Amino acid sequence: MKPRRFILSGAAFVAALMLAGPALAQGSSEDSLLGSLDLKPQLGETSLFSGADDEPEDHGPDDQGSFALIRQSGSGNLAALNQGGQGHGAYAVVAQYGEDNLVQLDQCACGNVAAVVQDGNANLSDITQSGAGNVFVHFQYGDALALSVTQYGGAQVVVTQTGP
Amino acid sequence: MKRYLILAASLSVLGFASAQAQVFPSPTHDNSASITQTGNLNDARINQAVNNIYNGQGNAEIIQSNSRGIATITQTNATSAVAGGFDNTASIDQRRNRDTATIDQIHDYASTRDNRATILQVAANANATIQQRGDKNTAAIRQVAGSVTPTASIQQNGLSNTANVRQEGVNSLVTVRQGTYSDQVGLSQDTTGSRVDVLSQGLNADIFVSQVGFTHTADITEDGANGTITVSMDGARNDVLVTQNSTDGIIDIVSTGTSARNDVTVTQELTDAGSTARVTQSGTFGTAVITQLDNQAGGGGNLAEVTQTGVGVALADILSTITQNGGLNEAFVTQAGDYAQSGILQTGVGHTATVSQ
Repeated sequence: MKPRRFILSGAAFVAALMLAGPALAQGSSEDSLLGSLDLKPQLGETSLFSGADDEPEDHGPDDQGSFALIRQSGSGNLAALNQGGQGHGAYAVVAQYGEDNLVQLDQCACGNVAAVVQDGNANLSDITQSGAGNVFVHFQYGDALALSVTQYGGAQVVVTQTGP
Repeated sequence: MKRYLILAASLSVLGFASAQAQVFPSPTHDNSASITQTGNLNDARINQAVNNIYNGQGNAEIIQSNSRGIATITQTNATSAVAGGFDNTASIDQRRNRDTATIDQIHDYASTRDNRATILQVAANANATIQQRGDKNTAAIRQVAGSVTPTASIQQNGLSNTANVRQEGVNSLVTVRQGTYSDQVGLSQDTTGSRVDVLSQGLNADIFVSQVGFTHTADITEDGANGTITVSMDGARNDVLVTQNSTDGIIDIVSTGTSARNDVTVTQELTDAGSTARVTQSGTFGTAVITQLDNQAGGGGNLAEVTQTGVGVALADILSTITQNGGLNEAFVTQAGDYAQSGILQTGVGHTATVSQ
């Protein structure tokens, strides 16, 4: 898998999420974060991975990489993801609404994309990405937030932390 | 074959046996046998293929109204084909304690013919066994209100068979196996297109279903607490749907290494708490959907665990979704193949979601 592909798709993903960020921030209710209980449409939603790239085959759904989506509403929840077993670019999306939540995300290999949204106080994220061309986008809304990001290689990171 | 000139008793109980009602003697001059026994410790046996020599369609019926009865019906033509079309019908009706019913049917010769076996037991400590080989067979076991510790076993081999079990007693045991029954010499086709339907409504049910072959469906519903459901699939394009409407259930569904494109849907809801759902899929492709919900008391403490090690070649070939509410739920997903997708949705407090890809 070419790292360039992931860099391109990752950049598009970042752009999409940056645009989507305000919407997510506005929609900090449970409904906006949790939506329907039926996850299948979201899992099959190709628009999440689409961007400005003219080569559709360069985007996530056409790659062999894995995709994980975790949505949690409430307090004291833990989301732990470990991606990289296949050596392809992985996509991870975590959305937590509530307090005292924790995200632990570890991505290995190249071309990974991770997006984390936490809405609530005292939430913590611990992100590790290794390899080239990784992208991490993070939105935290609340007080007493904590974030730890470790990236190796040509990585990109976008972090937004705002008060409640 | 000696014909018994005993008119069939009504089998209209619960509307179940009426569909299986037979006419004795047979108006079409088939083999027909009907035995009615009252009193305890009776033993009734009907064999319509002595030494495997068959000369026509068989109808058999045994009715026992007292305790500790034994009823056995054998209809088999494993080595003696009969020209023309025919099918067999067997039914056993038992109404007291510690009754045992057994039906064996083998008919290998044409997919357009079918065997039908029915056992109705309204009894404590009842045991029912049906074994069928051939195509388009139907096996039905009803162990209804009043049953205590009932045991139901069905084995089938062939094409487009149906196994149907309904239990209402407590501490019940159900075993259904499709695709592994052989019995005597003779043809035994691979199993495909078969269906298992199980409805258990008592406490502490133990249900085991095994399907070997292709395009099967297993639909299991269990409404009592502390139920255990185990499903094993070996084949391709099989579907499993398991529903538990209670608490403290355990569901374990396994697709073995040669399986492909098997889909699993597990629903533990209404008042789910303290339940476990495990799905293990290997082979090629696979979909697992687990829902654990308590919409009445806001329970929790459930465990959902999905392990998918199969191969994927396109988007969502390996797919897992887990939905949980309440508190202190745990979701574990391990996916080792390409094109794996995982979705976890948790609402409530103190949940853990762990994904390894």
